[in-house]
Amino acid sequence: MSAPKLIIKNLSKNYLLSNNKTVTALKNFNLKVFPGEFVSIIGPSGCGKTTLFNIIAGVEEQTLGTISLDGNIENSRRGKFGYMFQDPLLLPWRTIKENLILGLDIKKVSKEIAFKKALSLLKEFNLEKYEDQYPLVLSGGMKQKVSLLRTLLFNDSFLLLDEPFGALDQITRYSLQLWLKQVLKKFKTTTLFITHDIREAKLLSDRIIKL
Amino acid sequence: MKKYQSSFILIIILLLFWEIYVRAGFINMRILPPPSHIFEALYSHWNSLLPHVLQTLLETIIGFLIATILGFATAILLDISPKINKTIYPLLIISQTVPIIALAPLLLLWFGFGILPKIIIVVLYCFFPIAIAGAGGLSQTKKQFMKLLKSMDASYWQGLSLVRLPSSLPSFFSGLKIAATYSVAGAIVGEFVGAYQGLGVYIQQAANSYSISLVFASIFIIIILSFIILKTVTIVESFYKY
Repeated sequence: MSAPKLIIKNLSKNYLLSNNKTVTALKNFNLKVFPGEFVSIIGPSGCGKTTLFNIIAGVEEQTLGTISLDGNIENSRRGKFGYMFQDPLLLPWRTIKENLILGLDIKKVSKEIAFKKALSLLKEFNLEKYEDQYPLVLSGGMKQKVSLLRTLLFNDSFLLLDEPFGALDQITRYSLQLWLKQVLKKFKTTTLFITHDIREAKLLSDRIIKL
Repeated sequence: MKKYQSSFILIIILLLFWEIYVRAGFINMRILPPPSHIFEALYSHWNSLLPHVLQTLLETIIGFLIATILGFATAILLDISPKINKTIYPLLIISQTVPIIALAPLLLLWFGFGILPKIIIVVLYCFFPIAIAGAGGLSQTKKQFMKLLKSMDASYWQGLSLVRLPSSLPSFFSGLKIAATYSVAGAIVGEFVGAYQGLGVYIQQAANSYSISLVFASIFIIIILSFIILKTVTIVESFYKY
């Protein structure tokens, strides 16, 4: 078996409240994720799933513990994961292809190369007809597809998907689950996935963890 | 144009009512001339009015543009750090408690009768709504967007230019529209206090010679100028998709 891609050791997160009391959002959390693996994290609301993702992505700092990526302890993890949310967060003033290259703009990739990559990705998933459309005309499911492709274009080696289909109806949700499977198979992406839906976790995952 | 149809009809009705009311003798025509006399005065005095209109328009446009740049820059400055925000914001609020009309004579003393004090007064009228609306828009960036930007390791300026500034444009344009309606009034206030030319001067001259029709004609032009500036802002806004 290959070495783990991600190792989380004794991760804890406490929040200091305004009355000087502390609240523990995560306590001694441990996890190993192997390359290409799809791991779902399930748990009730408020159990710290999103906090865990925020810490992994470097959006928040942990109180204790370490996170290693590809064998190295990473203290600054921003930009090293593709992080996708329940809200597709598409920019309404940008066309679909312009939305796709947001992460590449931040990485200062030239526009020409960025658009080339975006168009080839849209073509690969039969979405090229939407390249010059604005998000306003897309359905909820389509918006999530574009959001996922944007995340992949930014980082296709490790995805953090925080309930990406949580706001969709059952039929759209099921078709997107199948689509996600197909996309991740192509990219061989390592994925951590948060969901409330045990059936969704079962359908998509190699492993399910309860937080 | 269709969406303004009802307003247009209401204006026509009010003008007709005004015309009939005055012509019926309920009020002295010398005190309140009917609209027909006002438009007649506007037409016959247009040549003498035009240089004043252009002067006021010039002061308004320059002042409004400077206020836009300053307001925009201040909004970003307020956003850069909470420390700067806490230092500058109270000063901005205090500055608004000073009636600008009280500053006008001072500006006249310091900068003379030329165009400069009028431009400064327009800037003072327009700057505050632009800066506050812009800063408000920037501070209201969705938390999720901030998270997305952080996760992508975007710098402050990248986040600002790629996401936060464009998403704050609706708020920024609201401020611009409020400022647009103040701008012409600002120039008129400056001209009232002391000027060689401009609609403020013309109104004073007309009032001193009891030409009430010309005072109303000038007010009508002020409304049109304000409307043109407001409409220009709306047209610029329509180029942005958000």
